[in-house]
Amino acid sequence: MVDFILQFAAAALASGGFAVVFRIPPKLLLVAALTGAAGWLVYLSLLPTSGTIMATFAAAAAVSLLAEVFSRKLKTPATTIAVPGIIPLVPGLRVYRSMEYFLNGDNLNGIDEVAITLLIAGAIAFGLAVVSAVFRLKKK
Amino acid sequence: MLKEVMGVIMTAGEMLLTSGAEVYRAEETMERMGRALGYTVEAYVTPTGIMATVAKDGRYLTKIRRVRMRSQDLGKIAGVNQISRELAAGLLDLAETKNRLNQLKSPTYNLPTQFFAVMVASLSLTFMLGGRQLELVVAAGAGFLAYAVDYFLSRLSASTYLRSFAAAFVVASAASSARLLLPNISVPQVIVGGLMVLVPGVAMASAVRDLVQGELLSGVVRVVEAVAIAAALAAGSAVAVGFWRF
Repeated sequence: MVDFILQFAAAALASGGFAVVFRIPPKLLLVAALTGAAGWLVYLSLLPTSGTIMATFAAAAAVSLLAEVFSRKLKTPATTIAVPGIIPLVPGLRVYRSMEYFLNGDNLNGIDEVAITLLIAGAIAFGLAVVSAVFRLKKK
Repeated sequence: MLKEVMGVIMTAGEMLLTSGAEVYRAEETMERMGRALGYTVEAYVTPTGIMATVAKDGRYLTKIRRVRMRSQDLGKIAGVNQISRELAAGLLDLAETKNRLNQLKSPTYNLPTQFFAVMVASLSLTFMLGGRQLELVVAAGAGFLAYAVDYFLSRLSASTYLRSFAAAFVVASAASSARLLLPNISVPQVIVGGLMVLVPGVAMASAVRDLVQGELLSGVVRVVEAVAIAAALAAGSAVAVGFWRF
């Protein structure tokens, strides 16, 4: 439980930090940080049962959903909240690992990591895309 | 008048595009702003340039603007969006819109705040990847270093790929050297936490949203850009880590 709270706080700080780097308007900072933390919790809770890719998909969808809802309330483009929100899900360590495998001449494991990285990137993209497509539908 | 309206909508479109907004957002905003001012606007936006025609009463003006700079500035996207909303609601006229757009050019956070945010973000990401104690301190330093290299090279107008490569090289070298002093730290977590700040998050998200809208050209171009930057980051750290093994 303590670990869950620490993970939530770390994800909020990571998303919040990125929100500053991406120069989000200050009034959106808290919302963006909490959205990122919520997405990370969805990922962590689904990870043991559903595996990395489904968990990432669900987390990205959750981030996108929160971003669409909050952006309507706060009258701002949904991107401004969604972009910092997906940062915790970006598979940076896998890119690094595959680089290391290739460097060691272990091409098989390297390609394996690249494939999983691409699947995760695809899961983030689809999670964002499905939700934002549904919200675009409602608008017309 | 045609010229002035063209100037305003071109400025708005260019600001959105250089800040990393979706292409469909730039097109829609330009058309909506034109309509609010009583003009018909047809805009064709790609990630590297804008073409637009402004028309009224059978007279028209067409202009092309080449856009080379690309950055990540969500504040500017939100700002232009706000101005466009106010214009559509009839709260602004042409001159006021022009003024508001010109005033929007300042960054929202000062440099020390940005560096602090980078360090906090790097530290948190390394924690989420399983780093603890000293690794977190080194990660904050790595984030600082990555952002400093990127910032310094961007002032020399280096390309995004050179900046990413150089920052990755410096961070990976520094993290590997730190291991000499602190043999227990795990280098990958530190490097990844430090380099995440260079990930083109805005471009990736805009690419996805453009693809959903059927803006295939912009979507594909930006996906390629994001992959190329990730490759530059991997190559930079690979060279450093490879050297360190000798």
